[in-house]
Amino acid sequence: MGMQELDVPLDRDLFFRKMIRSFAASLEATVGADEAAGYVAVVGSEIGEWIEAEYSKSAGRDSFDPQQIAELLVDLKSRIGGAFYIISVSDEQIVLGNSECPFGKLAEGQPALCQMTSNVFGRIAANQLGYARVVLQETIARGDGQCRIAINLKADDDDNDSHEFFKIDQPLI
Amino acid sequence: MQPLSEPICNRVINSLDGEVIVIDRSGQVVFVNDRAIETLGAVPDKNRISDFFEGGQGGERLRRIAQTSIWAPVNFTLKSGPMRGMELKFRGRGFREKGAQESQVLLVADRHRDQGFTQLRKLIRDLNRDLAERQQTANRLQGALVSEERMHTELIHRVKNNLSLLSALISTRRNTSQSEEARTALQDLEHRVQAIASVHEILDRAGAIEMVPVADLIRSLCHYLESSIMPPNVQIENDLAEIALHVDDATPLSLMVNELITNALKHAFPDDKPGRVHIKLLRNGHDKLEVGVRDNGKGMNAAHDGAGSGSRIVRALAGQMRGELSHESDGDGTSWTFVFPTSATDRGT
Repeated sequence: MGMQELDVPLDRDLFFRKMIRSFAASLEATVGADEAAGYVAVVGSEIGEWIEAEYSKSAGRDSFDPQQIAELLVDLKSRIGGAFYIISVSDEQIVLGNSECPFGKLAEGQPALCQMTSNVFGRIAANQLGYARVVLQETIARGDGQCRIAINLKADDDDNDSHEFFKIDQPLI
Repeated sequence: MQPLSEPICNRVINSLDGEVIVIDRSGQVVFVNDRAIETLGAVPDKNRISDFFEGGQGGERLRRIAQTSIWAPVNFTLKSGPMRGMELKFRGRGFREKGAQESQVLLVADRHRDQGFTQLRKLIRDLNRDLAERQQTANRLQGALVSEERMHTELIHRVKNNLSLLSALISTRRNTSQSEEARTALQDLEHRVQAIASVHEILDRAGAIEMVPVADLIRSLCHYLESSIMPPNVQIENDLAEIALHVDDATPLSLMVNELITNALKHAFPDDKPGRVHIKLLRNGHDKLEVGVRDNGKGMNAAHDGAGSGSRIVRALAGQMRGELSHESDGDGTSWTFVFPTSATDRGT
């Protein structure tokens, strides 16, 4: 039997997912979870801005309202293998659910990967709506069986277990 | 727990060993602690952060970390102060005062940041060095081994040549001897030397230093005896398994087989009586070999059974090899069987 005929569960997508998971785990083991989160935040910020720019260009518009942002986030996740859906949308908050992680089973036990989602969602929402505070209420990675993500759009003083995202367009230096 | 008062907060922050800088979203410096004033080299009154730090990659990274409340790493190259030109490591994050709408950016120096990477790099470097040293040691050992094998091969070659020379000297002396008894003794000695030389000749030919193919060895012995003392009325047959034996066993075995065949050729077929000498080599169980030398001659004389010098040598060699030697003899011939343990054999070489 030739090598090409073997039933090996390997393709480009799985290869890259494995690689990113390994990178995340190695980074966390090397510098610790908090510091790794900082690096992931920087990457997530860049990815978020890139995705936002792609949607803006394709839609021919620069701004989206909360409903459209919720749809954008669900769509982007759908394009990369997630199964997100809208639970609720208002001017104050977007709540999304998810039954399937883009990283699949690889995400289990790797909450660092959720930080990527948190940062991409937060970046896009903050850039469009001025402010976002993302709360990962439930995650597949933590073993909840599903994800529930709340994106608060109004600055308040409730900062429990959440990350804030601000809109800053201009370079500070 | 009571919140600290503003003066105490200021004292705490100013007593920190690392620089603490707060800037607003436009890049305006709004607070520095005492350590930052020392480092930046000026009191940053109404200064912008760009007055103290180079832009470039650090500038873009600063915008990114200002966008989120997650601590993230950022490096800056100093434009001012006593450490001008040096790169400083910071952690930074955006933050928002309670009740405020606008965010600000907090930068805290962290010279020990990325120590995990440093330790990892050191670990990898140490492992690579260790690996290189081990590789060098392995190469040295391999070189020494090759050198030793070369010297051993050379030694075998010289021993073979010396034994051939010795055999030739004995042969010359035998040919000039007037005494029949002396000629016989010298011929026996010559054959024994040749039996040992055969082992070295086979090793030398194969470029080997330890393992001798026993079938080749016995064939070589037979060939030599055929060309020297074998009368035309006798034939030598063999049935030999292809087994290699360590030189420590092959040498005494060669001597033993030489003695047994020589005895048969000399004594078993008087008066030009036709006959055969059959030699066999086979495995006996897992860790033993069996060598048999059988002739169909007249049988051994009971009165001289095992009394000759050849038989004494055979028994001595059998004892040296910790083997069991037995023989049977009657009017139909004599059969010798030698079973011995082997510590190093190699099948099929």
